[in-house]
Amino acid sequence: MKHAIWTLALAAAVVVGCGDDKKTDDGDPITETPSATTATTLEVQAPWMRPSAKNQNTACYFLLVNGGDEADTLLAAASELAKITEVHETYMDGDLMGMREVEAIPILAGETVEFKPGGKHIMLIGTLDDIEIGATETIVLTFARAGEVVVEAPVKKPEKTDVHMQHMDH
Amino acid sequence: MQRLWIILLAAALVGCEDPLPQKEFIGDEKFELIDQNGDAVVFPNDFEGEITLVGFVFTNCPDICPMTTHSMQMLQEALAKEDIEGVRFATITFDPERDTPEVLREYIRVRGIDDENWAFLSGAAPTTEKLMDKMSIVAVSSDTTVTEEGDLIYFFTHTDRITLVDPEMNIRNEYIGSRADIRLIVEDVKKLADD
Ligand SMILES: [Cu+2]
Repeated sequence: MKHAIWTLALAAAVVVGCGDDKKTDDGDPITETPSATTATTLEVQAPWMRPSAKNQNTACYFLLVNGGDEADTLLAAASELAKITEVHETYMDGDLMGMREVEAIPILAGETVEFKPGGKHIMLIGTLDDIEIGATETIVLTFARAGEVVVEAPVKKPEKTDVHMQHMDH
Repeated sequence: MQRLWIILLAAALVGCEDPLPQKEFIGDEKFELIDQNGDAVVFPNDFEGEITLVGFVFTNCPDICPMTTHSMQMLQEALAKEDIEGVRFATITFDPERDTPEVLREYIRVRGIDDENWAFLSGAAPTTEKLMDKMSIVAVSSDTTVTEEGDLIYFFTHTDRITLVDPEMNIRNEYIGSRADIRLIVEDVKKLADD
């Protein structure tokens, strides 16, 4: 827990330090470390979004690949597609499936975090228009280190490989 | 350990006379519902005489329910590919207040669903509640919030299921809807069709 708080504090320091170019940040010791001079290599790969009719809800999925040697944290998601855009996860509670908002998702150095059906997703609540199969839609993810990353997600039905099969135990 | 399971499973398959041992009659109660076209449908009676795959969703569900619906779409395709005819599909909403026939039609349209043999059913809340009970489906609303515009936002924590109903209105098997094994369900449907 202490470690998590320390990580958050560090992440916050980074955001303050490099979030706005107009501010002078020469006093920040973090930016002087050698690792900070290498560009962040956080990548959002294979994004896609489910279709949605106007006023309904949908979800966006992708892989967060941290090829760098520093941890990063997904802090927020935003879009102009829906009334509300949130970072969510689906969870199982006994036999029931539920869903909840997630505050922050760490992506450790060298790690890949998967947003996939039945797991973590970007939740778009109350789509302002139809989100149709074949279109490409934009969402913006905000990371502690990488800052804002624009994601262009094609709208499609899931492919078989996007869904993990599982037998029901009897 | 895994090998033991395979041997046990093989033994169970060979030794089993009835390939679908589950048999639970649900035709003793009639549920008056309304389909996506606004037509009255009596469940399960209007499906009597045909094998029916029944899924449970609410359209405001962004993740799990679309997976269940997509499983049913894949089943529809798989059954067509194998020339298995006469199987019907029913998606029943456990959020009938929001999921009106019009909303269900939009849900169908945007997903490119072929609803020729697929009914999307809504109804009066007390009716769908009783039906959920009958089918052992639980849906608990949670996380209610109101947006700045005053829209009520809530979701359900719910059972994730597709149910196989035989032509005599018996439940014959149940599957996890969002992660359904399409091939397994097609095999089960074949067993019923061969009966
Ligand atoms: Cu969600």
